[in-house]
Amino acid sequence: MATTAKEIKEFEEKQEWWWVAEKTRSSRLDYLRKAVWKKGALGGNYAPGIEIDLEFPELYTETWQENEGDPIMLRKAKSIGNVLENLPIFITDQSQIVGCVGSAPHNIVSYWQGASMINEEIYNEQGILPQPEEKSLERLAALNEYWGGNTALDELAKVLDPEDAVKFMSGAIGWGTPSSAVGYATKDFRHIGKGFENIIEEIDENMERTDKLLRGNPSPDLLPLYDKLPRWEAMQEVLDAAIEYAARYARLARIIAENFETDPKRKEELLRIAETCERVPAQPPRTLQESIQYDHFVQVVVRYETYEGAMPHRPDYLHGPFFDKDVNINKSITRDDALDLLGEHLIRTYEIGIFSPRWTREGLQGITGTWVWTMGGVNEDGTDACNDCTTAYMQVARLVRIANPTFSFRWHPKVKDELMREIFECIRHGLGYPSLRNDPILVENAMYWHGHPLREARQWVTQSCMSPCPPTKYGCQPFRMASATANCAKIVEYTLHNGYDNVVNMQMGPKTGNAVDFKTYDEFFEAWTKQMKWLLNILVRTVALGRAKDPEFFSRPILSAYYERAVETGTDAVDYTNGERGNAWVTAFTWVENADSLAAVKKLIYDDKKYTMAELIEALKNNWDGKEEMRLDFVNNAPKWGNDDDYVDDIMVQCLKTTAAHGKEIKCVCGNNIPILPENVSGNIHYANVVSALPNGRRLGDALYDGGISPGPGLDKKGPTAVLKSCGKIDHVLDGRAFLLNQRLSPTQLAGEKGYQLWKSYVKSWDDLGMDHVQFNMVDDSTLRAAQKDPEKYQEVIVRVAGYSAHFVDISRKTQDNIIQRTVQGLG
Amino acid sequence: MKCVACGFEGPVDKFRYLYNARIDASMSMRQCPKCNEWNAVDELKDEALEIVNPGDAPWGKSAGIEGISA
Amino acid sequence: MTRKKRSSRRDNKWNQMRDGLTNLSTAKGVEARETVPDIACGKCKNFSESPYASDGRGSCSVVKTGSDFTVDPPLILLEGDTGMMCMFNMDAAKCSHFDLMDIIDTDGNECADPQFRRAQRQMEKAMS
Repeated sequence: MATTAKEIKEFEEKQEWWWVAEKTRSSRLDYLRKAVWKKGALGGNYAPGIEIDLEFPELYTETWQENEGDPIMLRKAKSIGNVLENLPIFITDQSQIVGCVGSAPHNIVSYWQGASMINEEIYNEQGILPQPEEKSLERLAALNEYWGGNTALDELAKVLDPEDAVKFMSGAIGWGTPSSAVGYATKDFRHIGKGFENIIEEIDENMERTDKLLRGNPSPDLLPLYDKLPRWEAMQEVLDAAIEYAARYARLARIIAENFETDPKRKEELLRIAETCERVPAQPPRTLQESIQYDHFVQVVVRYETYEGAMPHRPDYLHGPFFDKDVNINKSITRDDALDLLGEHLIRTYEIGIFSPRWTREGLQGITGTWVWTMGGVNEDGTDACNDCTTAYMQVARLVRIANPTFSFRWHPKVKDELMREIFECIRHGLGYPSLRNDPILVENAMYWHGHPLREARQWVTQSCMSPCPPTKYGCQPFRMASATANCAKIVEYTLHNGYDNVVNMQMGPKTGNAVDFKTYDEFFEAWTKQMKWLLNILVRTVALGRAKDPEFFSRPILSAYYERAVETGTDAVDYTNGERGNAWVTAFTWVENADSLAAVKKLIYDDKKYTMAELIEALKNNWDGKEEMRLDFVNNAPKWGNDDDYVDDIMVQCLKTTAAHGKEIKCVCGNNIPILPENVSGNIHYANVVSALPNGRRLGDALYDGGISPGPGLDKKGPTAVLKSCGKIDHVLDGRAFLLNQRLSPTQLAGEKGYQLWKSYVKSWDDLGMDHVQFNMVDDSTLRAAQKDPEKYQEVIVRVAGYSAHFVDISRKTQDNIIQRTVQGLG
Repeated sequence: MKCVACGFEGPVDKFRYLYNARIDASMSMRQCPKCNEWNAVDELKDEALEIVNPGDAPWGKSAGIEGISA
Repeated sequence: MTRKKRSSRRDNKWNQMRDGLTNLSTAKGVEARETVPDIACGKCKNFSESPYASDGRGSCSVVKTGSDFTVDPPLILLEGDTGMMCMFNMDAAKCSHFDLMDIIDTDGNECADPQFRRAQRQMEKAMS
């Protein structure tokens, strides 16, 4: 029975936006949304029915074994080629966009060439083995035994300093794999958009020119050229395989249309799919459907090479001209047709599922990767880049309500009010996205830290959740872990315990002295600075070596074909010598605990002398057990970040400036700076049982604070303006790469036009204070508690975690409680 | 301390510390080693107050203006 | 004559630990991978599971690097500032410091808890 306008109005009034979406989207989007599998982990485990794809690694390994003598990039390209040409494919009913990572809709994939420990983890994982389990275990054991000791990470571990290797892999101090086996890369879409056949031709010309040069004497100048030829061959191999992959979909669509489909409308759609796949990615797109299909093939194909954990691009910028041409100029499709295509683009992206190691799953609960799409912003010349497609993506996001991809909106003063209203509607509907990014600040930031020229900086995309990177010939960064991810709460923890880690039972940081012997706060801070430098240094040098060795140990033929500079020079995209400007950063997880803990130590130990350092350390070693009154004193009677209190805010700024100065000293392999970027995703929960008790009053087991500069949940007691004022004391250009701020707002307060105006003036204050990021949760306690009690009924409730959104029922109970703990700020 | 669900008695540190309800409150959640239920615990008194199931919130609402949303 | 090593960098406790780290999963075939002994490191209070790799590796808070349970009698070192690397399903029958945990949490839907959580499929089976 059709839903009436009155019923929809009732859902709106009750703010049950998921029902509004379901009742107002097209029947196609409704079907596709319900047909797609949920592949993010529910807390740490995959949802029932999700299976690891074993055909993919077997096809890959088979060709890998057959080509032992080939240089690594060529060997890898042939292996990927075998997969793209032989892995089963499918077309979902009613869909218009094709391509999936994996051989079945419920599959997730992994890369056995990456890391033995991940391979063994897959073997040990609960609930993801295809039935019969016994057979799967045999297949997995065979794969693991072939790759065991020979993966990219195994090779790297052999050359790393043993102490660094052990500490890095302890899981206590940082995240990530120092290999592009697990990472993400910016894509050079201007180059990719030429069409794969045109790139193949460019490579042909490069090879021909090089062949001619090699007819001379094999002088030192010429010798390196010999290595370029197999790399170019590898790039061609994968581009050809990608064209063939698309051609397989074209054939399948035609076979279904001509032999099985009885509905004439669907038959026509299938034939359009066939024509589209015959055109792209071989040739540049001409229509909106071709443009989206091209984009999707680019993203899917590269995920047969490696775990690309993010999706840095600007879809509204990329597809906007085709949207405008098809919908507004030629009127070849209606706006509703276009919304179906954009909506399916979101759904097909949501469908991409990659097995993540447990630490990634726990840090990115509910999603399969941070597919944060960058929207809005400016053009190279500084004019407004927002277009009709930007608006359409905002509208369709509210209809399909998926948690991945999410949007990051590049706000700037020229953004029109109509678009701001669309953005606010997304937030009001509880999506948690788009996050707002301050474009002028971040353009300046990209120029300051990495020297990107203005016109390139203006093209920035969010490389992961937060970091702005120009997707240009020399701006593209191929390796997420050109930087690192640091568990920064360990800095203050190690300062207190002379570098010893009581969770992993190891002398981890340097012995900076027994804290009991520090006579002044300045001495304490000096030790903190040494621990901070040690932490950043060990992560950066481990990752830098991983990056330098990556072309030798892992290799990226597809990404290389996607990079103009790699195609031009016959090098691996990850090779740091091919002109890359560098865009490295250290993601600073669990950062704010440092400011609150240092403030508590300064106030209660050194200034007020209420407790001795020995008493504090004893209480922390016992996880505050039996010292509840003292713990509450450290929580309630020491200043806390986010209340516009200079005592603690000055400490925060001092920590950031000290770290920023170090960020100018440590360099990535390209020779560029490494600033920090405080944010957490759900790493604050992953690390809850890894970070010991701290002077801010948390125990081992308690969630860490959720944001990069967000105050501790419930500790920001003076309202949103005080939060903004504290955060505004940070220089968002000079003090770091970007700073994540979560804010929770009341859906009741922000209802209607008045709500929009309140929010808009909040955004103005945020801009006036020169901040670079803010994102909002707008779901009330009662809905979230009800969802905890009865998850089946609230499957579609979405929340902003940190840097990404997730369906509330897909995150662990501790994460849920942590989100509910956040202060609900009243605006105005 | 005595588990509200099964009556198991033992020192508070025998109960697995899970996490706090709010960092600025003395209530936390601990798991009984015998029946595995989650107890809301008053850490000042070392006393188990009630069993906490998903959706329960013995510590009340979130900080800030959550009250107006109810 | 045995040549004297010039660098101690690759011949110390860190090297032993690194080797332990990369060679921990030595089980071959299905049966060896599936076996969780009655007295296994993963069931002991002193085992701290690595939050980095959920293949079930971890370290001991009592027994230190350089210890060896495979020799007879077992070599157990209690001095040092790095714990012995071990796997959740390593046989600890010969370890005099084995101390059975009261709570072993195999719920993989929650997050890392080096002290209490063992989310491996084999542990889930062994504890059920």
